[in-house]
This record gives sequence, C-alpha cells and structure tokens, in this order.
Amino acid sequence: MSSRRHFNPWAFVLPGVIAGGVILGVPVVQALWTSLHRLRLYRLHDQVWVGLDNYLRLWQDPLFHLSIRSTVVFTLGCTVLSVIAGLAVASVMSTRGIRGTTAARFFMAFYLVPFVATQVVVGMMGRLYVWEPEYGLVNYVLAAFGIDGPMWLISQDTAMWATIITNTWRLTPLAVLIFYAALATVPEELLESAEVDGAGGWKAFVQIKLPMIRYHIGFIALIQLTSAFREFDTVFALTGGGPGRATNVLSLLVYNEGISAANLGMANAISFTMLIIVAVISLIYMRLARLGELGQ
Amino acid sequence: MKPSTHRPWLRALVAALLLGLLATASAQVTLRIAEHPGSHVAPMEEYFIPLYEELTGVNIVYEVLPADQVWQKQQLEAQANSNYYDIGYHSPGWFGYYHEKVAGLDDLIEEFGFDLSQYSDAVQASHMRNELLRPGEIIAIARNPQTPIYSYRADWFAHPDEQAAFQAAYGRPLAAPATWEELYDIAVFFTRPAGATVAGETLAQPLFGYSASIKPPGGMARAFLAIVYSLGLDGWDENYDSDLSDPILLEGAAYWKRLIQDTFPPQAQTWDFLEHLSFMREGRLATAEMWPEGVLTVEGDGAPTAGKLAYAPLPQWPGNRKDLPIGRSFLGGGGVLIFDTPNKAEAFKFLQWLFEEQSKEFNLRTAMFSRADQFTDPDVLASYDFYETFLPAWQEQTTYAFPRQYEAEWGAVMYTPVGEFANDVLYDTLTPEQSQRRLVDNMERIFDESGYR
Amino acid sequence: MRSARAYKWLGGGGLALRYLFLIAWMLICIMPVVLLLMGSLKDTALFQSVPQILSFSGFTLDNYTQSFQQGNYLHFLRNSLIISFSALAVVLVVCTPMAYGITKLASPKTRNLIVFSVLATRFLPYVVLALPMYLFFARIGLQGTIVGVVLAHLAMQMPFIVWLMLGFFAGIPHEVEEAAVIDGASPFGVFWRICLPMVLPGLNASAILAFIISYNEFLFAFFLAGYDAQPLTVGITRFVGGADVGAQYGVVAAYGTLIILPIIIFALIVNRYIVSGMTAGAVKG
Repeated sequence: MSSRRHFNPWAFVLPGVIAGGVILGVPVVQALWTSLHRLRLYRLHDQVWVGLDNYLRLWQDPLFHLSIRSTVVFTLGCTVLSVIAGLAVASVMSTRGIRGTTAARFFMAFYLVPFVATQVVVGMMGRLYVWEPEYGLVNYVLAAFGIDGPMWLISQDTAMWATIITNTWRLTPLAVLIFYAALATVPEELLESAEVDGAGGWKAFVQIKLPMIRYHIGFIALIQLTSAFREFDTVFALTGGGPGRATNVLSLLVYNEGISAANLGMANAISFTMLIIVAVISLIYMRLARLGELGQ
Repeated sequence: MKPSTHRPWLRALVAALLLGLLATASAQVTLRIAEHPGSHVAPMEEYFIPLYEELTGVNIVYEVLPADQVWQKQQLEAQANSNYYDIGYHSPGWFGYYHEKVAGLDDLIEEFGFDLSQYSDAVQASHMRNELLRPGEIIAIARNPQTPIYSYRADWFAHPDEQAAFQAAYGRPLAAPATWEELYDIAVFFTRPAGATVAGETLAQPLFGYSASIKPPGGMARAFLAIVYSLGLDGWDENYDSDLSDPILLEGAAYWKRLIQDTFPPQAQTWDFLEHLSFMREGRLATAEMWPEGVLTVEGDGAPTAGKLAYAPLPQWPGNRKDLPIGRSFLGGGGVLIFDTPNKAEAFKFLQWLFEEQSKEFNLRTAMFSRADQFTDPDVLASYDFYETFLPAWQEQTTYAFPRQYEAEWGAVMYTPVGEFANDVLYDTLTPEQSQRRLVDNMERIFDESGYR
Repeated sequence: MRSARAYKWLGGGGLALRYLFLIAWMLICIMPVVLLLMGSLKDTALFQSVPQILSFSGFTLDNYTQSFQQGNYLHFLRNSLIISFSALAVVLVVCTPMAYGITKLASPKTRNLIVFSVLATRFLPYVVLALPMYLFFARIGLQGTIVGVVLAHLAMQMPFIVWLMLGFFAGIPHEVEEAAVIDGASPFGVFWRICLPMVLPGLNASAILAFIISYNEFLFAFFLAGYDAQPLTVGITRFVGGADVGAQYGVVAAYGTLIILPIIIFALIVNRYIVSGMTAGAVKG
C-alpha cells in the first residue's frame, strides 16, 4: 500500500467536478439569483430585487399545489411501474432456458427500442397512433376484447394514466437492461442450494435475488425518479398539461410561467422549489437505500 | 472481456474526429432567415429563394422553426447580441421582447422606393409599427395579416332535407349564423352519431358541429379570444384599466363551455393550431373556426371538401360592449422584420423583391394576402373558386378585427392568462369568479410592475 | 400470495408461457414504432384506423422525399452524428476517471458529498437552465456551436455515467490493484493498465448509452445550437407545429422513422456489448 500515499484521487475527480461545476454552476447560480428577482422576458434589463416574494406567492397559489399533486402522482407512477415492469421482464429473461440464448439477445435488442425513440416523435406517436380514442392502437386492441376504451388523453380521469404509461414505456428499457445484467451476477450455486432447501420460485426470488440486486434496484429507482420528476417533453407533446390541469406537472408550470407568461423570476422560483423537494427526497432515499456506500 | 470489445468507442473517436473535420467545410452565408411555418414555406424553399439566389448571387439560409419557438430563438439571439438572424418573423404579440434589436426601415423604404400605400392603415398600425415602443417608425413588413372567420359545409346547408329539418326544429332557415347563439344551434343540429344521416348520406363515423384547435395553453387562448373580443372587451383601455372584470366575460365563458361540451370533437383538446381543419377535410365537421392561412387544408388540390365550403364573418354577440354588428377576434398572422445587422440593406432588398416585385406570384403560390394589389388582381381572384365567398368574408372580418395593443406585456396579460382562464372554467379547476379574479389581478399586477398605472 | 402465484406463472411456469410473456412485451415495445413506420409510407392523412395504417396497400415514398428535401435530413443527420460521437468521447474521457477517483477517496463523507453533488445536477428542470446557459456560452464565444451543445450534454450525462461507472469500479477486488502496486505500477498505471481493461465492458455500455442519450436530446440542442449545428431532433420540429398546410403527419412519421431507424440498427448491432458490459460490471451485489 506504500504507493497509495502518492496517489491523489482528486486528480481524477477534479476535472469532472470543475467541468460540471462551470457548465452547470454558472447557469444554476444565475437561475437562483433570478428567482429572487422580478424579471420579465420582455424587460430583461429591468431586474428588481424582491427577496422571497416569488416563493411566497407560489406557496399561496392553489394551482401550484395542484401541480405538486400531479407531479407526485406522475413521478411515483412512472418510477414504480417502470421498476416493476423492469423486474418482471428481466427476471423472466433471466430464467433458465432463456438467459443467454439467441432469442434472449434478439428480445433485448427490441426491448431497447422505446429507450432510443426520440421524445418529439414519442409525443406524436402517442397522441395520434396510440391513445387517439377513435383511431388509436390501445382502443383498437381493447375493442378486440369487446371493451369500449376510454377517452385517454382527452378525459381528466384517464389522461394522467395514459401519460404515465407512455413515459413508463420510455423509461422501462433501462430498468430491464440493468436488472437483467444484475440478475446475472446472482451465483447459480446460491439458487441451487436454496432449491434443495425447498425455497424455489417466488421464495428464492424474494429472499435471494431481490436482496442481491438491491443496489441496482435502488439506483434505477432513483434515476427514474429524478428523470420522471422533471419530465417535460413527453407530457408537453401529449397533453400540454391538460385536460384542464390534469397533467400540469411542475416542469410544465415552469415553462408556462417562464416562457408563456414571460415571468422568469417565478419560473426560477418554481425550479428551485422543485430542486429542494427532489433533493430532500433523494437524500432520505439514499440514506435508506444506502446508495452512497460505494467502493468499500 | 475480449480485446475486441475495445472497438466500439475507439471507432467512435475516430469517426468523431473525421466528422468534425467535415463540419468545418460548410458554405459561406449571407442572409439568415428565421421562419414561421405556413403555406409559404414550400414556395419559399422551392421557388423564391433559389430564384433570388440565382438572380443576385446572394446566399440565403432559411431556418423554419416551430410556431412557438420562432420568437424564443429570435429573443435568444437578440439577447446575446449575436447578429445571427438577418430576417425574422414577427407577430404583433411577440415584438416587444426584442424591439431594440430590430432595424427601423424608414430610411431603406425611402432609399429603395418601397410603396407603403399598398398596406391598409389597420395593417400598418398592427403589423408594421409599434407606436409605443418604436414611435413613428416602420419596423416590419406585413406578410399575412389575418383573423379567423366562420367556415361551413355549404353543400350540407343547402340540402333540402337539412333545410327542412332545421326549419322544423328552430323555426328559421338554415344559414350562416348571425349570432353566437345561432352558431351554437347549428353546431348542435349537425352533431350526430355514426349511423345517422347528413344531407342524405349515412355517416360511418360521428359528425361534429363545430370546432377549433384547443390544446392548452396556446390553442385554447387563440380560440377563446374570439369570444372575448366578440363580447366587446378589449382587455384594457388607455388608462390601463382592465375590462375583463365585466360580468359579460362569465357569460362568454359559460357559452364557450357549452359549445365545447356539446359540439366539439373531444380530440380537439389535443389539437394544436389548425389541426381541426384536417378533421373537417375528412368530412367529420360541419362548421369550423377558420384562420385564413389554414384554408388550403380544406380547399387545396386533392382535399375531399374542396369547393364544398362557404365562409362568413364571425357572428355577433348581442349586447356586446362595443355594439359590434359582427363578432371579432384579434388581428393575427404576422410580418417580416429585419434585425439591425450589417446585412440589413441586403435583407431589405430581398424583401422588397419578394413582396413588391413578386407580389402577385407570392400570393398565387401561397394564398397569403397582405397588399391591396393582391385583393384586386384578376389573376389572383381567379386562382381559386372559393375566393368568391372567402375573400368578402375575410375583408369584412378584417375591418372589425381587434389590433393588439402595443404593450410588450400583451402575451403575459392577455394571451396566456386568457387561455388559462378558459381552461380553468371549462374543467371547473377554479370557479368562474375565481378564474376571472385571477385574470384581472394578474393584469393589474403586471401593469403596476411596469409602471403604467 | 397472489404475487407468488403470478411469479410461478411467469418464472416457474412453462417455457412456452414465458416466451409468450416476452413476445407480448416485445410487441408493446415495438408496436408504436411499427405504426409510425407504416404510417410514414402512407398518404399524409391525419386520421387513419389501425388496420388502415397496417395494410400493405397505398404505399408512397412522398413523405420520405419531403423529409430529405424540405427536411434537409442529411444536414441534420451529420450534425447529430458529430454531436453524439463527440459527446460520447468527452463524456467517457471526463466521467471514467472521475468515477474511478471517487471510489478511491479516503473519507466516506467526502465520497458521499461528491456522489450527491453529481446526482444533484439531475434535479433541476433543464428548461430554466437553457436560457442562462445560452447567455453564458455566448459570453465565452460558444453560442450556436456544436462545442456548446457537447458541453451541455457532458454536464447532463455526468450523473448517470459516473454512477454507472462507480458500480463497475467498485466491483474490482482490492487484491488485484494491490498486486499491481507491489509489481511497481504507478497510480496512473494501475488505473490505465489494470482497472480500465477490467471495466471495459462497462465502458462499452456507457459509451453506447451516452451516444443514444445524446442522439435523442432536444432541449439543449434547440437552445444552444445554431442552424449549422442543429441535430435531427431539432430538424424534425419544423414539421410538428401543425401550422403547415394540412398538418404534415406523414412527413413527421417519415422523419421520425428516419431518426429512430439508425439508432435501432445501431442498438441491434451493439446490443451484445451493452448486455455483456452490464453483466460483467454488475458484480457488486
């Protein structure tokens, strides 16, 4: 271990920290500064200090609370569904007789398709080909089973579900991929000895496999959570926040305030409120899932 | 962990370097244009730009941006003082954001002898000047000023069965509506399930009575403003007092809610600008809001509805606050502006060639009207049969259209919040009174902020 | 124990049932794209039922012609490839050593702080960063350039790639490195000659994912790139607005297909690197 003393890991870490710090740091500080001002897109030279006024106004706004609620539903929905779907697909893919076969490779290639589908296109596909109540795929399939499908994006009751499912469709491939890889690391001997003890199937899955890939589940859940929390493109293209305000998640509120209503101060205040919310959630989550404990 | 696994990213690095070298060999550029989508884009790309490049040797980079993003990009470049675009698109509601970077055109107009008399006073006031932010100057050239009118299936309206049924139900002949309430009746009359008949033919799919494209936030705002302005409301007066607190706004909102729920195709809530016209083209709409720039969707070559439509001005709102004889919306559409770059004289020469020298050709290829000579040219008038009912309706409507106020705040106090108001009332997110309060408070706060009051 | 029964049905059930499940999932994944592809080959009418779209009649290539001509496909494709490959290179060069360095930091507290700070950059809605970032880049002369877009992509991808690589580096047994040190390897030598080859599969996976993420990114590309630098995701938007004559859905579908197809083919080719990379790297339980 003698040469360890000369080794300074900071030499490896700093370039990244500096690059990230400058590229993101400057705009972030600027954005934070803006959130404490009154600043309008049409009068950018006229920045007036208002302190926490934007934040206070925000918290008093009932529509902001509505947006928080839809964001929580959307984020949790996408995270939970994509983790469950990812686990289900990956564990079936990992069963004996399928894992490692050419068929598995073939499947995996197509499972990646949603991940590589450009969001602008996903929005259009979703609106015109999938959820369109009269012409779309989902109601066509439902009709084949004799079910009269709902209005999906057009009804306040179902729009959120359709949006969540579309985004989950996009998020799941990453989960499948990483869980599939992680499940491969569960040693066969462990499973075999469990089977000898009479703990096959479900029991082995819950008691052996799930704990073994705990880190990966935690990692993916957090990645999905953070990306669903600030998802903009998919929701904007599918519903624009409607019907009514049913899918008006916070990132859309940021856009509406900042761009449509030209209120940059308020838009940035919403963003930093989002940052605080998701940072707190992530901190608690990382504590619980012990995601920081790497490299020991 | 075979060595061969090295390859993908090594190959990637090499490819990146090669492509990087390629990228540096791009062409030299003279005029950069930021463009709004529309029926003029294809003619511009396929005809006018190549022709001008050939005639003059000027190089033109033509960048078509999505409707909402044109001004965002222009704003960004103006903000950074980049002199990136030489020519931009301008809708009166956006202009205030970057007006300092826009070239005044009076000197150029004089130097090159551009004929302003082709543009009506209203169009000049709305689309070519901004008396508040750039008093006394011409700062743009109007290209497609327009305002929505009413369009309907004349073939169905004229059908004896429909005439008789409507007469029996409503006690008056079936004709273009004179009031918004009549518009509602007609829309309800034509809203029919699959299997019913219309004009003697059985419907394979449900038919809807009326529609606009009302996806929130932009679509809803654009469509509902036709009600707001028809109510005789202006938004605010010269003292910056809001007239949106008038109770008549709630009547309008209640009407709008009824109209959407009873007669719009539900999908309209996911449609952006003009998408409902594609639905009309399919024969699934009896009447519709018509922004003139969308007319070729239903009247162009190959459209099944071509020649079957007729047009009328928007109907009146009885008791409206301005005693308007017909309805109205804002004077929308846009013009072209020149940014204050070293290329501005070259840019002006191009626009003069396009709009003055090619005025007729431009109209024939785009169906866009802005100049007096276009409305009177016999070749123009003969170019489409539908112009016979379309142009009179357009011209009558334009005389009543509301020219947007010059304040840069228009989008922040009218467009966006009015759209939200309609959306919140439609879905009971807030009570109508709460929504109205919100609308008015927002306007007053912003005007206070800006120091107008 | 309904879930137990469901599990038995899926995992413990017959091979045929499991295949059925996997095929069903595959259909869910590709059906929208199949509809897009078929829709792109039809006349540009907006409202077509599923059987109409999927029928093998009335094919036309008009939409593709328009995509290539008006949509300037090759111009945007070139920019897309430059951006994605450059981002991939920059991301790997910066993030790989960073992940390695983080695993070697002595204090768990510092380590956690760095890991959390890196992650924290994922929390902000990017739409508010785009404007200040543009102005910042303009100040240092990078506005409208590919360099600006690539730097933004580096910052955007850092949390994901660093985290992914952390898992791989953390999986290297200490003994391997110590043996190398005893053999007289320098610290950089240990990283370059011992550790990097061991995480090569992870590097492959990261490279592929970085490429795909960059290829698909829209927001920064839209705000930061000038026309000469814009990628396909920006190029398609001119057809999306719906304000063109007879909203050009056929063209959007064709253009969308042209964006998606190269990356699907790419994924099919490199797919085994992704999976082998993941499998080899996921040794940390």
